[in-house]
Amino acid sequence: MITFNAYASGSNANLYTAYDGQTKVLVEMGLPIKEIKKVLGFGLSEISFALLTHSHADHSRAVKDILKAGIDVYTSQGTIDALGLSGHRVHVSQAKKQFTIGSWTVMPLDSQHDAPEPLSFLMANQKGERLLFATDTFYIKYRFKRLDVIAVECNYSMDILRENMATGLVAPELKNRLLKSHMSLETCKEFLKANDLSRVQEIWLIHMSDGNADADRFKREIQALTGKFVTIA
Amino acid sequence: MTEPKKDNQLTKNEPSMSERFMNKVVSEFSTGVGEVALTEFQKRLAQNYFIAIDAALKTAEEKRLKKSDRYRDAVPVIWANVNMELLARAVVSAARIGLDPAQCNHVSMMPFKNNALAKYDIVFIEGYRGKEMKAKKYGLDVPDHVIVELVYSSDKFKSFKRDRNNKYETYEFEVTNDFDRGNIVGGFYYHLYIDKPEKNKLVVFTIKDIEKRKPSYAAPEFWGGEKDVWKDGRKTGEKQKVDGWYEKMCWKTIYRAAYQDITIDSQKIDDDYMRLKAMEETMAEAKAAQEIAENANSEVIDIEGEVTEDQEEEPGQHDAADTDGPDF
Repeated sequence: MITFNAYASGSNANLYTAYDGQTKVLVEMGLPIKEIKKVLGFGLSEISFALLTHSHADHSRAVKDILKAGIDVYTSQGTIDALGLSGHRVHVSQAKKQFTIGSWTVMPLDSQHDAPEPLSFLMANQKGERLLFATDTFYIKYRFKRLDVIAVECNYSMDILRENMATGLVAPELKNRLLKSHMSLETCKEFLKANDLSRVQEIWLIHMSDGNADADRFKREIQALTGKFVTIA
Repeated sequence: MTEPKKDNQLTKNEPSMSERFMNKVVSEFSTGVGEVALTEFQKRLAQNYFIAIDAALKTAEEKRLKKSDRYRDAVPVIWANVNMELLARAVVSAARIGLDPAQCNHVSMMPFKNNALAKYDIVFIEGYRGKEMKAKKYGLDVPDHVIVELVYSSDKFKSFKRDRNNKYETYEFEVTNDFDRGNIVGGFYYHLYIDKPEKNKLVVFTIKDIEKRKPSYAAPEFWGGEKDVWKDGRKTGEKQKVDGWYEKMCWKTIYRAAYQDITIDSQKIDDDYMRLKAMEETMAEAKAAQEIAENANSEVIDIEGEVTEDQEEEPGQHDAADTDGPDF
């Protein structure tokens, strides 16, 4: 069984773990290293490897400290170049080229975000259970044959965004950036509708906006749509 | 003798397609916001909109039909499927501002699918001449002249910023070889105020600044580059080099920035301006929605092969192969 946990989520910082009983993976490292150690109960040694989606600081803040701590980091060449990473613990991941570490097989997938070569990750454990981790992407290009745990971005809804723009809370430039870099509730719903959710145990809505989202409403609507257990990160 | 006369009368009373469009535009607009009065000039302008939109619909429908069944939208791009209320308002606003689709680079139209209505929204895309017209009409302090130039590697350019020695911003620009100017290294625009030269403004662009403004969806037919080669409705994987109009696009980029930089006078802002602004926002939404509709949730993917103990790789095993050397 896959255990997914969120310790920080949103535009300030992102930090998640995925554990299948054998191998624990750190997904994103957007908190300062001190806080990462704290929230993980000083259990950094339990982490087998780390996955990084893209170079923005809210996801990558502690990457150099994670490398120094002896944890291998898998990310795209675009992210490596943007962050100036080097060393034997930095591993280049290419979209659609899967690799296996411990009990996990990871398939990186290309995301749609305003960062160099952003990735999402489809992960499978030895029981064949699948976890999809997709954040900071305004849509997901793919459909999946099987999913057990879904951690997907649900950043804003169009009605709240339009209202905030009309009242001046959101600048037009920010709105235009959001439209082509983060996933809306509406797109998230279409993604869930397009996939076979029969085996899904849990849906995590991640990277929710502070001002352009309504967590309770989003959870209610996704739960009503899917009939699945929904958690807001 | 009487029969031909009847025929003539029938022919005369039959409204043309463009007249029907015009009536629809006026009636749709009247339904939403009350009586509307368009001048003869604005009516003529609206006829131009009909012609331009009709052409845009035909092009979009041709593109739709070229797609394979899987990717083809079920709704044909025809007049019957156009969101007329939105279009009517857009046409009236644009016509009042004076944007004329018959003039080059004023405004162009593109249909975008509105999934909520299962209809097509006609989005108005302002050209660089349209931006100029809007800035001149609604600007607070419109310069007497706006000078826009590209600078090539063989040109001589020097800017003089306003300081204790220079009363106003100015520059020196010399083309040393008209027929072989070299590569584009940048460009500039200059807002020139004849009576108040202290207001003159010079903005310089490096080539990097220009390229940064190149839209992510820029077509190689305009900016140059490579495009996919299609055969039998499929990409062959080969790329074809397209020359495009790189220099003209660089110049237009600076031109747009030059007029974008003119402050809008709040007192001159009217409903038409606001509606045009709203349309720009709609366009951003429509473009994102179209990209999502065309690409999202389409390709089926899964992890290949069953994951077994044999395939396992313990953390650290790959270290031996990846010996970039320690860097900490």
